[in-house]
Amino acid sequence: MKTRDTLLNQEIPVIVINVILGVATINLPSRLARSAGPDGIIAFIAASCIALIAAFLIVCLVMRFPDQGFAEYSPKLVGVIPGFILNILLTMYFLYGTAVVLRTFSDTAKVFLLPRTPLEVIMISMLFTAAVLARNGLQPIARSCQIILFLFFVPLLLLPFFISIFDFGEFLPLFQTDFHSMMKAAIGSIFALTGAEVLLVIGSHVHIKRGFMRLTLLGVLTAAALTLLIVSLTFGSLSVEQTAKLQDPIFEMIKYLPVPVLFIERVDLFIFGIWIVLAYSTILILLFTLSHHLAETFKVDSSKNFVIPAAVAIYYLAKIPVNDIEIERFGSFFNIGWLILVFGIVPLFLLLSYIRKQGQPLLAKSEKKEKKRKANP
Amino acid sequence: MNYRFRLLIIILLAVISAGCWDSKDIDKRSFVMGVAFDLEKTGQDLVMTLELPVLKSFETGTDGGSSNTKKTKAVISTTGTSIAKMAAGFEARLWRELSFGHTKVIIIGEELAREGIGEIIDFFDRNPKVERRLKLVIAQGEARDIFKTAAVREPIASTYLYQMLEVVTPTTRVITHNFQDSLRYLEHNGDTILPRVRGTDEELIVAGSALIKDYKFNAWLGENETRAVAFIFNTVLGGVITANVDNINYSYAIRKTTTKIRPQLGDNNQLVFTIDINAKGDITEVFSEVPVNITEDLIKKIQAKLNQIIADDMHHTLKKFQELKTDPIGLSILTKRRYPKFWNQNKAHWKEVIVPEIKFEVKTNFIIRHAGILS
Repeated sequence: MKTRDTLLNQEIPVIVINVILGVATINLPSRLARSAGPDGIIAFIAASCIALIAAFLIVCLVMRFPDQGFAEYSPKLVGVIPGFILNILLTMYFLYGTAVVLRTFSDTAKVFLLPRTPLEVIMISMLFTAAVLARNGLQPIARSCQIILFLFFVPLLLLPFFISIFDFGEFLPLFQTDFHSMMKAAIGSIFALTGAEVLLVIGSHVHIKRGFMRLTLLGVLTAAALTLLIVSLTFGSLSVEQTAKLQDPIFEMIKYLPVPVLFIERVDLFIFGIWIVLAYSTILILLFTLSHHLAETFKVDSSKNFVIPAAVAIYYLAKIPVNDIEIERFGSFFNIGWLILVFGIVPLFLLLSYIRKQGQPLLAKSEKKEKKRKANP
Repeated sequence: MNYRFRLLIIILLAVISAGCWDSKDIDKRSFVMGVAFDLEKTGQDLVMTLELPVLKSFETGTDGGSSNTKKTKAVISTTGTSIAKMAAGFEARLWRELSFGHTKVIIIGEELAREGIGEIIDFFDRNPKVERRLKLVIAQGEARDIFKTAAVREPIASTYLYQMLEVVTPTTRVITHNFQDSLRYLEHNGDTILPRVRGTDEELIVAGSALIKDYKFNAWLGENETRAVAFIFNTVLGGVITANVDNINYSYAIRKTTTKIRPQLGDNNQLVFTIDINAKGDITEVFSEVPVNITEDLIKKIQAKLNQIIADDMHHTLKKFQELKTDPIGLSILTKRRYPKFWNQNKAHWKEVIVPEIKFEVKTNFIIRHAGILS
């Protein structure tokens, strides 16, 4: 493992938060309001619980094989050819996920910021910028993500203090949606909480695995809490009906609220800036994960040479949807892929690892042993 | 090679990331400060009028002062059936791109509002550049006439009107809702209340409001009715109410108000709304020939009078809404939140059947805190 490809413990939640928060956060309130009305809040809390369970399963699997990536242990568990097929499928999953994020970002940027700039230019610029850093390994990415985290964390936490129009009544009536619709809304919103699965590939690069589970769950929980804050603010200030009507209600919320500091009339531009940086960090991490997984699949030492070909493939895939409706459908397929991966393949691998006695026992036990040994040398 | 490759990447990024496609100089944009819509005389087409500031007129002269001999604004009109098409027509005439990012007001003429305002709203609701803090108002008469007003201190009528609607603390006579607030009520059930404006050569008068029912102008509301609505919307930030006690007028300046509205569903499905108004303020004037000693009894009398004035206004206005079978104040929103089952059963005939049957309990509690510096 190269030094530049190691991940420090404190960087785990940073990576998880950065990969989760991004383009999907912007239109999530609209999706929730459309599918569940005021119950969208409940649906999102349900989705957060699903994401936490998913993160738990992912980390369990990573800790079974602490020094191996998904591409390395999958042939050991299911056989060489099925393992290779699964690796290719995981490649397709990350390829597709990055393409969805890239296209959603580019389309939104085109509508709000760059109406005349060709979509292709927005996509290429973003991919190119991400590729430059992705070629340099995991450590520079993690460090950049730490800077990015500070960039949006403080404004996000300060945002509620500037929301002068807020009606708690907008969260009523609760529990009016039937269970089926609620689950549909929760699954529909899961795209905004996906991302922890990158640990299947880069989890093996965590230098010391102590506290891995706690830090990963902390990352997912923080991202979910910040997203919940944004959804609540949008519902309470714009109303659930108006949120459902708008495609990207967070931008409209900023344009509607009274300006707190008068000299910054276009405060929405700051929010756009933060959002672009967030989208960048998501695309960057996904691109690195994809290229790294490809390198591990084909047993190549460096993932550097896979970054540009992966970016090209993402670009062409992201170009496929024709309009907003197709982009949304594009994203919903990703949700299905995520569910299959996290609640199908990951538990299956965990089960197989126990049956075939592959991998290590969960690190918590070995930690206990280590502690005991230290206590009684 | 490696160095050259990196340099090439940096140069390429600088070129393609600069957003050159969307760069547009300020002098190549027309900043639309206000848009007015009227119905053409034939009743078929729309008349769209724009108020555009002439930026050159604001430039500083050589002596340091602005060259105010130049025309400060341009008002141009066109006719058509689609707003997007008319906007494109304007761009062709002006050779500059219309920028709606700084638009302050959308004014709809009375005649056009009678036909419906839904079609007008859509273009602005859909446009990502439009600020949702702008004001949607109804003009008494022709909307484009508002732009003819040239106040001495406020040459741009749209800014003048916006400021009047935004900074309305001295009065309770207007509804201070912005575009997004208006949309919230309109898109819920098609009803809302919009400010009324009329203009003279030198000033704009904002007083009273227009009742919109099913996206169409339905009736004017007077100043007291508008004040009642402002209390219901909880948007009263100030203003003066005159209470006559023992033939003496006392001016009460509102400092703070809060309104709470609660629906209550009775045993026989009778819906009762309790409107609870609390206000705090000061006596700023006693209009009397002889000095009046403000005693505790007198304060109670003035408070009781104020409570009665506002309660009467409330009952009168709410009765008017019931007679007109309209719900512009969001009673349906509150019912939906509190009694979702009842709402689902009655939403189809809410305005026709339920609204006229609603009972209102108005509780007002006006408190006088100070009576000026006189003892």
